[in-house]
Amino acid sequence: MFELSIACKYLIPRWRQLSVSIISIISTLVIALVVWLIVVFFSVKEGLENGWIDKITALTAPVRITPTEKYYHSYYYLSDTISANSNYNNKTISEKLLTPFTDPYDPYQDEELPPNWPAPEVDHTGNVKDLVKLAFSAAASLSGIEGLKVSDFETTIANLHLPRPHTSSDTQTPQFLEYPSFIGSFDADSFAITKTLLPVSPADSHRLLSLKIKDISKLPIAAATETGILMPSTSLGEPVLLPKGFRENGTLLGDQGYLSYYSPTPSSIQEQQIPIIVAGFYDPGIIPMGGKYILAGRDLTGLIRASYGQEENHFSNGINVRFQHINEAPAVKAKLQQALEKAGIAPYWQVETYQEYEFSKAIIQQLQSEKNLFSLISLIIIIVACSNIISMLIILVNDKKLEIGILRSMGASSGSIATIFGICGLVMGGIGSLIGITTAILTLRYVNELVGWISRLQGHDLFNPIFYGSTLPTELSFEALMFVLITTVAVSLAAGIVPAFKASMMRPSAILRAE
Amino acid sequence: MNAIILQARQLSKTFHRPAKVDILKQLDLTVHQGESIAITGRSGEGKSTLLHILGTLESPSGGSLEIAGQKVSFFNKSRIRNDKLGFIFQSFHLMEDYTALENVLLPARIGRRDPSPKGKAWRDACSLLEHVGLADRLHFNTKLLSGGEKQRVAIARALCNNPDIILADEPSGNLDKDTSRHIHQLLLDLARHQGKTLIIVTHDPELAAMCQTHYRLLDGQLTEEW
Repeated sequence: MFELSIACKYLIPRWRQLSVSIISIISTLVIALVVWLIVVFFSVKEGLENGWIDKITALTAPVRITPTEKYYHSYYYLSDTISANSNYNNKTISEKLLTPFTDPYDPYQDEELPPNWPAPEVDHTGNVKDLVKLAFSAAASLSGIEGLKVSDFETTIANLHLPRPHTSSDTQTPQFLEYPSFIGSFDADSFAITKTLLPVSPADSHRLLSLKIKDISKLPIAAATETGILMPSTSLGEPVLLPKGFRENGTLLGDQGYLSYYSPTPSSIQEQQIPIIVAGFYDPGIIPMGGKYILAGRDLTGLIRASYGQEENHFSNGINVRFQHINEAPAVKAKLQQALEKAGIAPYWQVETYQEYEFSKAIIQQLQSEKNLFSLISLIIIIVACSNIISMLIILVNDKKLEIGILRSMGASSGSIATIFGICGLVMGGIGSLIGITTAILTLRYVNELVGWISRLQGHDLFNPIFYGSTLPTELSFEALMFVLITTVAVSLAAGIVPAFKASMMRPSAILRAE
Repeated sequence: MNAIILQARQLSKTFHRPAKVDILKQLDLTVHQGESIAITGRSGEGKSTLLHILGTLESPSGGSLEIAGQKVSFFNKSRIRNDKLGFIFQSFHLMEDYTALENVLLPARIGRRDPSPKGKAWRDACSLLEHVGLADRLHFNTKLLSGGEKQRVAIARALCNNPDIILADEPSGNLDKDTSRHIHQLLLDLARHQGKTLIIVTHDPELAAMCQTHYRLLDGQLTEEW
């Protein structure tokens, strides 16, 4: 392609064309600088966001199924309250899954159904539909989803009582501080959750030694394994995992306290207490309620939930659907909805991806808005950087006027002439991008060293570890890479259009005669 | 008589700036295959304008032009220029930073012919440069060549795509007398040898006399000189 060879000749810096050479080198370097900045910024930002989203989905699930209003007003749910087989108590989803009675109501033993009692939801054989087991079965039978796991979750509320942090000089008298908290069950067999577990600190080790437990296997430490988190079995209390804010406030591993909640009894509402022991700390990421969210075993959350009406918070109980790749969440949601429709139980369940959870929706939307805003800003910066190409190419066109005339006299079409200068713009944008991407890759490789150096220089952390973690992500963002490559090439091409058009419109006869 | 290779009918050209000037007035010209034509005239009479119109580098204000049986239009003139025409200019107009061989190969590359050493275009270019006596200058940068050598490269370049017509605008205007004579002879010999049609715009009566037909451009019209 002769256009390419001519364009390459024009782009090689020469002493004779010093001004054009200097402008083209500066233009290319400006593009490289902008590309470097965008790739590094977006890669780090995407890494941080992915880390935050990983934590959200590790503590919850990429997709959740929660009961709707219709579920709580269904015969299936309400029948427990009038059935001796259910001890006249509502059941959690976990209990519904375990109970052998789909329809516990016995018309011969239990009181008569009140008027306006909802009609049972029956299948084609006339039996009451087991809404929970059918939902579990629909979720578990989804095909083509790697690492699919289905389990129920429960969240409840209680007051956490912990000893005053170990900063007080008076260690003899136990003083407790009360923290209103959310208590949530978690899937201990999920590998994702292990990424949020914080390592044992030296202060924690010291504290554990003070417990004087001789059998190391009895130490109250939650351990991250290849398959999930192994919670300790100890007689000192129910093991719980606290968010990292507690550790920062002085709480230590092995601290013992209790959870209090109110439970109705035949005579009155009484406070109940469950002893707990701090078995670990986890990083809740950016979930707004993360600082108050305590992870505990399902038995503990079930026990406390049993004291409250199940329908008080629809989102406090449901089914977690976990899988390997969270970017498949929308597809999994669609498949789930189809499966629930097929089972005829869709109105009783709401399916949501992690982007739609009540507590994370605003954050995810904010992250998306920021991404859109930064993309727009990046686009503007790239346009400004590439605008240098226009001036450089216009100078080049004027410089190469005679050659344009010569080429036209030999039969080069105006399209070919335009192509030559279009290629010049494209090559400059492309070379700038390649230099920028290469330096961005190198920068990302050493980003933590760079941040450490700047932190030492300014005397404090450049990025607060509370928000950004102890190290910054170093992985190159493929999305950012594609964004800069496509944008830079497109803008460079667009920048080359004006000079290319100018060159193609030159009259060869006028040029040749003038020269 | 050979076939007609170029036919201009009622060609006119008017320049509007700085003042309206009718430089060519309903000019007719018929050129046959293999013919050599010299066009002479005073400076400013429009010789170069006529040559550029005949070479499709400039559009006429009126009239029509047919080259090798094809009517010249906006859409085919680049192709006609590359396939059917070869230009030789007074100032050589070689591409800087290119060698003699690269310059000669350029029309072939524009015409999408294979310019690699294995291709016919390469062999043709080498052979042409040998013919014009530059076999030992193939890979010389044109900046290093003398005026006569540059014009020889330009002649070789004009012949590279085996065109039907060679258009030469003052081919020896920048050369000394001896060199001019060599170039004239070379040009005419090559054209005759290869059966090319030659249209030369010149002030040189000696060169004009060497051509088969000699036209004088006067007042926008061509008149044949005997």
